[in-house]
Amino acid sequence: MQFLYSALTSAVLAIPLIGVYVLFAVGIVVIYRASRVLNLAHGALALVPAYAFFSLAKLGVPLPLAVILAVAGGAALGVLTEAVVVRRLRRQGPVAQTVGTIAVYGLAVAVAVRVYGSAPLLPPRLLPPGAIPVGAGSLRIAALWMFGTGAVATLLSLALFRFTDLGLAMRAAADNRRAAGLMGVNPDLTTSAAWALGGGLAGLAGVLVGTYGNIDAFTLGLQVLPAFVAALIGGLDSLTGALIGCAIVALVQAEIPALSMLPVIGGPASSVGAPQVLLMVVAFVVLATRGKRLVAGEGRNAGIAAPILRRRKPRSRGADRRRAIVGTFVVVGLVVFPFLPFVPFSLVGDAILAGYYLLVALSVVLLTGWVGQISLAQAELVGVGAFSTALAVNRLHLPVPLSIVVGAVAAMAIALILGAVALRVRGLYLAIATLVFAWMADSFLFHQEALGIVGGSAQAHVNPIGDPKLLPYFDFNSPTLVYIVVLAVAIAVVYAIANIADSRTGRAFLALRGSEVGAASLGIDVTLYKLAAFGFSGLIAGLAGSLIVIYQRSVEPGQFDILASLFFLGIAVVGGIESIEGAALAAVLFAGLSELFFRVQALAGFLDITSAALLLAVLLLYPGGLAAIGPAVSERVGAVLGKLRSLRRARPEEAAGILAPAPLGRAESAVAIESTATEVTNPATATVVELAGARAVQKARRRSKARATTEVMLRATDVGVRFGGLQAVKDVSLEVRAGEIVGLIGPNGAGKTTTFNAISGLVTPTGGSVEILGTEVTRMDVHRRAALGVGRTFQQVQLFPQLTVFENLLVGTHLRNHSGILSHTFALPRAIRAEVEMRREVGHIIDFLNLGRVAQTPIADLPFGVLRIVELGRALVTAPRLLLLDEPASGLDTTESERFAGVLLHVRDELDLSMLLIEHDIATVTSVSDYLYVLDQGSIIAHGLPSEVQADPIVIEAYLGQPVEATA
Amino acid sequence: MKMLEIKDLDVYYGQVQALRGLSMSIAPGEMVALLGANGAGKTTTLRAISQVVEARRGSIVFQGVEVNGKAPYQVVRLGITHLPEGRDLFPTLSVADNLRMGYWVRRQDKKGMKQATERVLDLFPRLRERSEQAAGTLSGGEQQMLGVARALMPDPKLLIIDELSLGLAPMIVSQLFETLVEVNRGGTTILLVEQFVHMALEHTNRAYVLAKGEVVAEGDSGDLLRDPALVETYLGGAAVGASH
Repeated sequence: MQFLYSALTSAVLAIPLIGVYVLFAVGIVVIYRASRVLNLAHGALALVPAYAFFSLAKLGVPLPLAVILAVAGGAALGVLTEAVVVRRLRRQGPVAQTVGTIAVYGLAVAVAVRVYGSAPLLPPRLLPPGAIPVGAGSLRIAALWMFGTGAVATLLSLALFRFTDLGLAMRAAADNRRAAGLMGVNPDLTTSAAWALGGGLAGLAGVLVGTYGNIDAFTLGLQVLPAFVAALIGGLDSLTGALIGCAIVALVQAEIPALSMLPVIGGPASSVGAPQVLLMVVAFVVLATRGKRLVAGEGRNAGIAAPILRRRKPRSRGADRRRAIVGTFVVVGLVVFPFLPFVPFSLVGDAILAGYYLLVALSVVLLTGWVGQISLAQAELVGVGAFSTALAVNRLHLPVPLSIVVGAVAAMAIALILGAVALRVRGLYLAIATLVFAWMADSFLFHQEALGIVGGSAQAHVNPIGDPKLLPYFDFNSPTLVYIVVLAVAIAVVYAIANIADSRTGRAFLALRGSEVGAASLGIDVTLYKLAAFGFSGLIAGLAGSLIVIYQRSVEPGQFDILASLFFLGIAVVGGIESIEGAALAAVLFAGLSELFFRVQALAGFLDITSAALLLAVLLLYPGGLAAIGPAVSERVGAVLGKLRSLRRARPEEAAGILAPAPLGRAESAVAIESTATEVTNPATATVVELAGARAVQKARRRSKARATTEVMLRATDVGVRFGGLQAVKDVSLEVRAGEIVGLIGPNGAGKTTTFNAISGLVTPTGGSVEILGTEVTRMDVHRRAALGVGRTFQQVQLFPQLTVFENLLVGTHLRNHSGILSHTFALPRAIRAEVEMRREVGHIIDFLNLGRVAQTPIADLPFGVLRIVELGRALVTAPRLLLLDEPASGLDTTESERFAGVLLHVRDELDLSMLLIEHDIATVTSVSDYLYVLDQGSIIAHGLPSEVQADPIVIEAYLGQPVEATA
Repeated sequence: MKMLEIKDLDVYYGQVQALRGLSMSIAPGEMVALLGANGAGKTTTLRAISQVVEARRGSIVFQGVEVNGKAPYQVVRLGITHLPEGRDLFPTLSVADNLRMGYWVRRQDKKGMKQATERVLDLFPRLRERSEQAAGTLSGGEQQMLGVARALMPDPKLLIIDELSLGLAPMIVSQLFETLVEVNRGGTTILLVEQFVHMALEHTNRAYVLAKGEVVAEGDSGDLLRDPALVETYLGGAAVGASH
């Protein structure tokens, strides 16, 4: 009874929270829908108006006018953020845009602290005083006003969307920007309108929160976190969903204290941060039920991570030797420098800080830059490493080196939890999910006394000596020793991940970023590699934390909060999100900046502003980061030099097949692109006529041979697929025999693609069974089917857009390359041997398909017709015995289709494959297929030889509408 | 008097030239087909007219107004409606709202919108039943119908259509073509890009054949239909065979 009463009163007390959250959440969703951006500057849109209101009121501006001006200021800041930062970063993709909003947020907070100080300010009270008693507590009248204002503003926004022309245009532009433009809507204007609305609502919330309590730059900005969680629970895309999410979040926050009265769960419920723990669980469960296991790539120019950096060029031996020499000098210099007499002592500390930044940045480079997984909780992982190490040293009395390992492993374990979330959640959704985790860690985990953190913001003290008996010669009180250890760890990590970058493992990582289904079709275990990326990244972050706690001897949770996470992402972006060298440059730069601002009195207090401004400047001017500035210059110099050199002698050819052909110059590749559109299928064109003759003979021979005598490559028996209430496919049975090309045709919506996905493993059948090469595979994962010898292509080409043709094919060698991750990490001879062997194999396929001229061209620069051949080549590299082709001729013109058909026959005959293909283009199907199945409304309505099927009246009626002329 | 006059148009995608000095013109009331292999520049021509891509050189004059340099939303206001490849609907908006968006340029005229809606729903009765359904949940054929219906909403002077037949069963394609002929008879000038050469030539008055970004042939659709050599040369033989 007592509990129920308490629960009810708590629910009432949640009212003001809902009012504020709704104001934020509506803005977040509206902005997300308009720009597909997670606006992490949303806190700034509340913060700046709150301070503006404070200043205006102080200047004597009447309060209502001050409110209006402040809210208008929020709207203006929103519009400005979009126009100056987000819009200009559109081509760099959502990661860069999101980081851009982080920079705006950082800048706003830093400027606010600089101008107004970090102490909370008390603005004039806007809302009426007084309170109503509710249970044990009381509800302020102001709280009701807050709720009312939030509710009214939200309803007005919803009405705007539903009933006005502007609202319709905003919804339309959010749905399909290009189409809105073609309808006569200026999409930039509707986007600005969305940001103005979001900014205005956030500004209103900021003023309300300020006048209800106080204004504090750090906490006010973080008030938006619950709204992000609410938006996430609601699906990020839906206003109604966000409103429900707000209610859930506010109730959880208000109700958890009420639970503390209950037995058993009372204890945990009353602990600090319990609501955040529960919210995280709720958010993760919601996400888990929504997510998909594999998703397709977004097309050839998109990708979760921005293709910020240009790809590495193939390196020559000479360049390798030069790098090795330079590297040795750098390492020796780094080792001896603290012992040099003229080096000031503080520089050692700066060097440790740089090493710390480098490690953290590398953890981001690996996870976000390469694998495309955005984590906004890297600092929390660092913190887990730091506190675990402290715990190991203080409580478990482990020696320092072992404690460092403990910290790294602990962070890795936590990172794996985030990785498990990432198996189902992607892109910006994952970013918020990690943000929710960070929020939980900041408010719950880092307040646990069990972690050695005593009191809310107390420190974890480390006795850095460890056990003097075990390690008598290592005094970890000496910064010099810590520096050497940091240096050693940093070099080891750089060495390891640089090796991985160029290996089977590294390519699997890059493949995940490009297209998960594409990767899986090549036999890459998406789950495994995603978890590996998170685990590895967590390990590196944990190492950073362990080392910093050993150096500093005491750390505070504040060092590892959400702001720190955003800062760490910023370091990696300034370096160039994909680049190891860039990360090193950025780490040194930021460590140097902090030393500089610490030293120079006049600069004191401007570090945060400078860092945020620097991040913004790099993003807008050099989106490739520091790593791209160097190459941009050297490329220009190189172009001039190259011109001079080519006058003297011809470019030497690389060893045939093993290394890729020499990279094409700009002009050459442009020529190649144009000519390949028609010439890339040369072998096929040349042979298509002869083949036609040869095929007639073959066909006759095959027909005479009974189908039943050859080996069954694929057998689907009574396969059914049901989506919810819709039976998409029912009782489909089909067979592919050795050496056959089997076509699956049918009208739109007949269930062809669903059948196909059931066979390749992207969809699990709800009935029946699939058997490939005698193995039952009905519920087998895609990548394991690939291992059985199944290759496939996709209707929407699923290549890896940032990689070249050669590299794409190299990813295809995944299954045949048996070297393991350890041999890649240490670049062992067997890994190198395997690499050379695989490159040779790829060279053969490239020759076979005559792709040599475009081998070094990135996918994003190639015409569509060539991409189809490249994707076929990538599937062939896996040495499949059964090839599944999903509408291989779609997007090709007639001549191209004809040639592609020639290529298919050529491939089948030369490589001894069987194929199943879905096709729309009747001419292509009938010219290549030995056998046809016709699907209509989810069932097979006919099957047989092409000539039989074409003559079948049922087929003609269902599919063709009228008789087809013979085409062959 | 020409309605649309394109002169010496050059369009580039990055370094690759897609159109090379393309010139063509359309008279009011015509129905014109734009034919050619993939990559010949058909879609690019349409995109240049609606200014989805910018031309580097040349001019596009529509009823005496230079189109080059305008934004797509300004081109629509001149009376040119572009139905791009792949339907390009607003998937979460209802059928009715999609049609309302089609009328955006004349949105002040509420009465006119009602009449226009009635007019296009009469052309596509299937859409009337699904008026409140989200466009993304329609079948492929219905989506294409909605695309055409939406493009007809503002009663454009010039309607340009890219690949009407894409991903549709042949039967639906012929129905859509019949509808377009009807619309054309009602006074709307039409320029369309089509893969099914036969289908396109049978339904249009005139056609341009493009190859490598240039016009290589132009003429009466009927004449082109009777000139298999030409079609063979530039379009590939199977194209004719595959259309029924």
